[in-house]
Amino acid sequence: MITGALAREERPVAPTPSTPARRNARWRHLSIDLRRHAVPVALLLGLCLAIAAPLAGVVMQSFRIPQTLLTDTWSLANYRRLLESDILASARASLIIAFGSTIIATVVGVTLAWLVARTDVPFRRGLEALSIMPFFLSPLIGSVAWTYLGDPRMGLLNKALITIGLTQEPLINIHSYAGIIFVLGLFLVPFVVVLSTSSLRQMDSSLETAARVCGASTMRTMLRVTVPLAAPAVLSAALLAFVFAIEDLSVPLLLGYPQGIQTLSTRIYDSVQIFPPKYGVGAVVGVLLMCITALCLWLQRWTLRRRSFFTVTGRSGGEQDLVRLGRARWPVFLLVLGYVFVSAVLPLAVLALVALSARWTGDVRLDELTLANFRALFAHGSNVPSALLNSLVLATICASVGILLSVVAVYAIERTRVPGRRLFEAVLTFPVAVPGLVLAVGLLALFIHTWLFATLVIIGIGYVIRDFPLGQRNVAASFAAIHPELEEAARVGGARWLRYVRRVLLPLLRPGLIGGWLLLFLAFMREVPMSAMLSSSSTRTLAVELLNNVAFAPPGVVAAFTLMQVSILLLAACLLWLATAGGVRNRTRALEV
Amino acid sequence: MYRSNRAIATGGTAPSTDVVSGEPGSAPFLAVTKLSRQFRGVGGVREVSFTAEKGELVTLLGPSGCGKTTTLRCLAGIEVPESGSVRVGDHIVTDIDRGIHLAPENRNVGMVFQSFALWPHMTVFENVAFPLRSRKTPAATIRAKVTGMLELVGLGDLLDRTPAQLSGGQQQRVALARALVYEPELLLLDEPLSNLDAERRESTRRDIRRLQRELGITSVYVTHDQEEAMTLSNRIVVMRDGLAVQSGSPEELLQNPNSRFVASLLGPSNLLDGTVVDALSASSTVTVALRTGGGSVHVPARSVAPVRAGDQVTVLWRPGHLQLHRPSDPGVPDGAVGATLVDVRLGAVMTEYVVDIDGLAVRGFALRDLPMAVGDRVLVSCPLAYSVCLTS
Repeated sequence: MITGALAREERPVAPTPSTPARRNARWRHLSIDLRRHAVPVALLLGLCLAIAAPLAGVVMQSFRIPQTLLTDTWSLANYRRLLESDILASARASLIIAFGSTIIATVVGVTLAWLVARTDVPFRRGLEALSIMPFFLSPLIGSVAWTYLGDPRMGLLNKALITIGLTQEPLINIHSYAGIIFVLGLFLVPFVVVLSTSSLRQMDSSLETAARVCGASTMRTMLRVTVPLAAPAVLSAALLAFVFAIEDLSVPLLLGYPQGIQTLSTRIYDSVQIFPPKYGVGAVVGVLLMCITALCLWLQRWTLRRRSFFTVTGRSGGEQDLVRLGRARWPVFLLVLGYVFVSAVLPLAVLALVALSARWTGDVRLDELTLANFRALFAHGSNVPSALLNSLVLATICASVGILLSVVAVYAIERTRVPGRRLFEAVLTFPVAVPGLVLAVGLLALFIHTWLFATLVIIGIGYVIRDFPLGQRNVAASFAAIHPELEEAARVGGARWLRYVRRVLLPLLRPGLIGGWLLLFLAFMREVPMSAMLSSSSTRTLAVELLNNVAFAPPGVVAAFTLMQVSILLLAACLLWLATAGGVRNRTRALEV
Repeated sequence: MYRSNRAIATGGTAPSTDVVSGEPGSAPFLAVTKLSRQFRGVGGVREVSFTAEKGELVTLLGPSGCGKTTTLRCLAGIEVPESGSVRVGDHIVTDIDRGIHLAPENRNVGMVFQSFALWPHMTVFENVAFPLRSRKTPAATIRAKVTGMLELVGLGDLLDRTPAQLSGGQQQRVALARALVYEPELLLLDEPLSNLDAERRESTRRDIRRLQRELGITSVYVTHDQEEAMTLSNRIVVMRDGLAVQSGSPEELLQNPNSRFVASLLGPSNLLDGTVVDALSASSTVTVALRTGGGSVHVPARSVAPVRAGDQVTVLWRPGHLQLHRPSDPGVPDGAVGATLVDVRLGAVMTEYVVDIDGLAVRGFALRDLPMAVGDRVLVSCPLAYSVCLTS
């Protein structure tokens, strides 16, 4: 990005012939330039290496067959495993689940986004906030809650349906493909809502008005004008949802694994959990999974690149004309509330009910309510306090490190002239395409024989690498608002680089830094796949401890534990909302003179 | 006032402080020699050289993209040139051949930016104090210097405002105070008026000129506005496509532009193509046959460079120098040519008119009402001193 003064200087001049003297001058110039920015450039290089190393680790591991404890040979045997029936069955299961949940998420999500962005449904702003609520829970929490709602034997919903006499047999089985697809789909809805609301909101409503003037009905206008115009944005949101779905571990692990439903993600998890671990199989399935996600993300970028015809004439300010729902307004409103009920209220309610019950069999016994389950969490011998500490330490340190690295990387990319910095920028976005599970396999391959293995450090490295792009995007957005001349003014005024960073850059970036930090913190607090793959008995995080509890602890304790995690996540989410919505940005206005 | 030589690129040698060769005592204060900085394929500057005496204000004038801002940024140390050298006073701050290019913070220069570049999270006082604090100046001195400097730019009572609470003109004054408060040896100004509205531009321009003269600070001023250049500068360097095409005082450039480009950049002009028909070797006076719609008319002109009969040239007539006569007027000058008055536009300051010389349209300004009407035959002339024959 060249801004301000530099951009004005771009106009062709006759190219100068390349002579040795001139090449020499260029080299002199480059070396002065590089020495100036030695620190950020070195860190950028290091970061790119740190990202590339685990990927190389996975790929190398996929070609390795263990011979003895410490020696390997190179072979394609792992890749032949891919064609065996059990792996093929897992791939099929993964695709079914991912497609199914993506369809649910896209249909529900786009409808919600359209309703809150383009129609006069009552309380639009409130509904928008509510519809992204499940985002702050996690699929893990959702799965636990829905076990208590939809289990055939002790699910609350099944019991309720039998009690009111609708059926004799349990109607819902959450431990099935349908159950997994449903829960995963519900969880993915907020992503789709967030990703498509802004596009729908930007769309010029006069295009729709024109259709109405030509005599088209509301429905016809939506199908023939709105949908085609919004298609690229919707497709892109759907592809992202598909990526989230196929790399998710917690939902299939909790709901399908006990029933023998194995997806690619549970296969990878399995390969390191069994004894002896089969890292080769994990790696080769990981490579397959990574190819799928990378392909989807490439497609997603491609759809966005082609969408120039769609958006947005730059009508400034004015409120868009909203579609009038007429008599359907309130029924539609109730429908949206229904979604909120199913995705957030019902799960949280059942968790509370189970957590307060002395024992859980699927029946509500209001006379036996107790707080014993919560006390059990912190009782002597419980692993919960240490897991809580692990999670807090990891999330705090990793969020800080991640944000710090983001600042340096963004600085190096935006403010220096390192050759190939655009390539580095591309490398920095790689982790988006690498599922956490696969990254974990790569880290295991690299560090299995070192002291880092089975420490919090290896988990921390995984966290930072995986979610670094999230922080980077936040920092980059704030960075874009800072005119390069603000730095130049400081330097010309006599400030060294560090003084500039401390006194000018960091204070100006602060709103973005706080927002990015909380976002990372939130992501790390609920992270499942890498934590599950990389932790040992002493380095369990909250999510891993919950997975463990689901297998061994009574339902009441599990529910209490889940509620505790929910409250932590919601607290962080509230802080995030306060930090980004508040008036902290006003002072940066003056930058855009 | 140089700080320790934390040179960014010393290549083993400390930044030299010896005076560049030249007659002792007569070396200019600022010497920029063969500065080059090119961007991949586009823009940049090639081998730009110019000098400035102590206390002078030099303007780099040219259209956008000509490399003037790049040159300024090289002087500040922000941009790293590929070759060339820069000397300020006794200090060589850039000499790429010897691997010297001091970082901005190690030069004693002040800079005023196009965007003002005030730090929005600091008050006016903190903004101006920042460079002094970077230099570890004692707090008492800082307070005195900052308030003194803000008084000087007329903002003594706005110390505790934030930049967002100031008008554009006030912001630029703060930027000026910030650039001057540590008494730099050289002041660099990058289109400081371009973000201001016309009214503020005028008064801020006067303030810049006044401060620059009062403090006697050598300054380099970048602009694309010929009026700013004319009113502010001791010397103007005209730049085009990365090259310095002409330099001199405003008077010199107005009287003897060396190209059509410089002539038209400096203000409204009639550029008339023609052929030299008569050149006396002893004098600079030539006769040029201007190409008109039908044939040609002969006019006298003063040539800036030697020309020979048959050369293709351009004659420059400034609209304000043209004189109109009625055919019946007594004392019509010798070189006057016949024309038709085709358009008259009245204005509060002057009357603008267009005459047609046999198909050749020429624009003129007159301070008084014209004693003739549209459609009248007239005679038009340009005094020899202002009828300039350009060779390129």
